Amino acid sequence: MDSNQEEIGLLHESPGELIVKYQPIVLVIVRMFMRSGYFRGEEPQEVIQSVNEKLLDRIERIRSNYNGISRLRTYFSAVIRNLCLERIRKGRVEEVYRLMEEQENSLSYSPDQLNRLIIRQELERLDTVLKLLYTQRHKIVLILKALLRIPAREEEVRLLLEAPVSQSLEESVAMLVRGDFRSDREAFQHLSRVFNFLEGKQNSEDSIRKWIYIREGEIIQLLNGDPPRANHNHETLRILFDRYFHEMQPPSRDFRIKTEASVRDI
Amino acid sequence: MNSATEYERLFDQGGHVNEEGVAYYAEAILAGREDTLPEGLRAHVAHCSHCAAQCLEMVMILKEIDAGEASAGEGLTEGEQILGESCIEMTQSQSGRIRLVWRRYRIVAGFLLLGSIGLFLLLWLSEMKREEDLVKKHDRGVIRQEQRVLETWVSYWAGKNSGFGERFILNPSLEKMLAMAFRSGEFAVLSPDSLAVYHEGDTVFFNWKGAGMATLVLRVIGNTGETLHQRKLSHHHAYYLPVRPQPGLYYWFVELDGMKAAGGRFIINRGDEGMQH
Repeated sequence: MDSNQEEIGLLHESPGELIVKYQPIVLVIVRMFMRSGYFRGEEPQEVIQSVNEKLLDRIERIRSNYNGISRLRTYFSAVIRNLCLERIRKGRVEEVYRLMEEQENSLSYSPDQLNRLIIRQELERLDTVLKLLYTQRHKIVLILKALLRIPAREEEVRLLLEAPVSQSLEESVAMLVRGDFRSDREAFQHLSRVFNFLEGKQNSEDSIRKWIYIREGEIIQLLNGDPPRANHNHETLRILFDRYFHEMQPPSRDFRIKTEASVRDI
Repeated sequence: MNSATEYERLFDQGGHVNEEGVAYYAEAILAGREDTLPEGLRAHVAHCSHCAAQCLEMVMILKEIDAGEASAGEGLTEGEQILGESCIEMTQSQSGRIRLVWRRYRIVAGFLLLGSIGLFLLLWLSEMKREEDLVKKHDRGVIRQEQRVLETWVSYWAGKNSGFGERFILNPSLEKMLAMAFRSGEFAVLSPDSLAVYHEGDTVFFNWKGAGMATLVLRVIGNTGETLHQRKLSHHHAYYLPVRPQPGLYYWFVELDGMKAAGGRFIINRGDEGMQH
């Protein structure tokens, strides 16, 4: 019997035992909220006990709602998170502290270590956000790379390289691959050319500008969280994206050299 | 995802991804298999900021759980450190399971009883009268109580051999307190039983009903009279004892708005003295 089956057995036969088994999960989730400034003024143990009680209260509902599609411990994590959110929304929190302020006061990390830790965490969040954006991801990445003057990667322009394209479009692709636009305006000119070709549209440069502004707003909202855990804005998002592209999606050098050569040959 | 019915189960009545759907999506992202998710689910999340936020937070939580279980206790506030230690101890200890050990141990206890029957009978007979009183006072079924009393003495004997004997001796004044009438009304303690036996490292779980809005004080006392743990609780009906008691006999009392409402004993057995799993 795998651990998930064993845990499902406990859910039906001995929920108290299951809840004890899941205490590390409760601890981690409560700790995450506390690090973000929630449950301030409350004893951690109070919060945990309250979550445990609510889990016990809702055990029947959990049994009936759980369909076995995900692992039980993942499902429970979602339930525990929602219980914490319920507690927060009931107004038992007096004040929200910013991540930096709270952690500077409570953790024993040096500022450098702390910054690295926070940035790493934010980069991971951003990576997940991009995965969640699914079909919009490709477009967002290509636009932001252009705006940050970061060369596009091979897989990001592959469709364009393989398709029979006009000379002007090839020039735009080469610019994306080099990532050396002189201005945002120039970047939007080339981007609109590329996306009009890919999407079969006749959108203006300004519509691309508006589109990415709205998407950035959505990403900011996701990164900041609800309840709020950070305070990103358009400016800090660009900084985060710049770091993300350099650290988690480094440009492929060989591809850049190869493509530049082929563009020069045209 | 095998069928349309299963797919539908990922959404709630409002058309948003439900808790299990969020869990399912987060698991897929962490396993790098988001491409296998149903198209409709991915499309919904990509265009619904509410559901995207839920999935994002879930992924971050799962990452934290994966990373945090190994490094629990690092970088916490003092309060969190204390909490972490107690909870980790709770779970590391024999998987932190709540057990009524007497069920599992009765076979082993039987062998021990046979082996030491002579001496045991002497001890048992000498305490017979007191135990009979306890049976009456606690209004328990005779057979059930006898089983427990037997086991109490097995524990006592196991402790005695290992130098822990004094920790298993009944405390006369606390026994008197137990024998006193408790205010009950609708209030009832469901767990632990009045004479529960735990294995060293088990979590002691208190669960009660009928406390209403009253403030409840739970006090756990060692057999020598020292308070092991005391906690004031409001609007609760369950409580995990956040400390791991040493082997021995413990008394617990519950006060409701200053009035004694319930009491009992529990025994923590040593893991290495005769009472093996």
